[in-house]
Amino acid sequence: MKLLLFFLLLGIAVFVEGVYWQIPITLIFLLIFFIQTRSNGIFFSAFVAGLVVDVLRVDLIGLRSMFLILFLFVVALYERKFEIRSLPFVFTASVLGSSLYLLIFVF
Amino acid sequence: MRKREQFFLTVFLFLTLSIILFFLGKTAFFTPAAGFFETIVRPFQNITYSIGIIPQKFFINTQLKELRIENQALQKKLVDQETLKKENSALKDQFATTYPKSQNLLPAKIIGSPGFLPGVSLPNFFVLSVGKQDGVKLGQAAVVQDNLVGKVTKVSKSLSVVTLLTDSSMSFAAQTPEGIWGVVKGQNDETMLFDNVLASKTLHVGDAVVTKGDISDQSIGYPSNLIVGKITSIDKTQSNLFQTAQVKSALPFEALDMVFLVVAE
Repeated sequence: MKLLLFFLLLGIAVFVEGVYWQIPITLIFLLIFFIQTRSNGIFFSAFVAGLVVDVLRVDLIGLRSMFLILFLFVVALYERKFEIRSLPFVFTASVLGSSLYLLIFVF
Repeated sequence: MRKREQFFLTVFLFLTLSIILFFLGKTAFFTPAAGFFETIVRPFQNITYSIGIIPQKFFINTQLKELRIENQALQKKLVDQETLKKENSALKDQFATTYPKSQNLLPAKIIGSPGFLPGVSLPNFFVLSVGKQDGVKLGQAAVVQDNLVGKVTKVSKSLSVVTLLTDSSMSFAAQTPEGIWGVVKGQNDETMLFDNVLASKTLHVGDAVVTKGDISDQSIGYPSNLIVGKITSIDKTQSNLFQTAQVKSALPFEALDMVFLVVAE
């Protein structure tokens, strides 16, 4: 049930970002879910989500997947140094990740 | 330790796949696969876009719609009249003017508009349901009736992206029906800047601005006399060599669900 809800919300985030918004809601959603579950399966979701957004935006396929996977990988590396399951970390990671994402893909 | 190895392996696997897809995507070899992907996601993209523009369509009341249509028709009339005048006075050969009606128009459904948040921001791009397989090429003009919408800036097998006139990356030659030339520049706003107009010329608020035309030998580019918009304000300083004007399109970009591409014949 939890997994179904995750894929439903991820699907909505991907399509809203791909069709309308420039704001990286997929990245923020994946980050929150990764911090909550710390599951490796999230990398597969990031890979597929990135591909779909690229297709919807008529951009080069694979670039967003690379970014999302690398971003989540960096977050995972910080797990040993910081308590990543905290609001300040989620906020900082979202802001930094979104800024970098917007810099690469929008501006 | 084993869990950590598994983690690195997962990251490595998907990262490598992304890199492979990224480089394959640049080659023609991957085009059929990308087209297949697009075919799968297109219905969902269409539904998402249609849901998003419902509020826009709901809030634009019937009277406003009628006024907009009337306004577009009047602008068209004005442009036609001025063009006829010019033609009658033998300033222009009748075949030198290309009209959109004589072009091969390809209808395209708008299925996405990245960056457009209904009620908050205006669209700068449209993702269209047509691509290379339908004859779409980079640089083709997108129109609605006689109004210019933008030009094709990205094409894939079955999708394409049209950048709207209002986007800051857009810049093209335009003129008023009286023959005053200038350059229209997008401002990421609902108005555009009509720039580089000689200060010695007289512009009037309400004047129509039309494309000058830059069709290539492959019928790619802007046909002439497509309506860009109407002058809403003029900024003229005596000491300056050039004057500028703000131009507003008659089209409600946020409520459009279809455009026509001027494709090569």
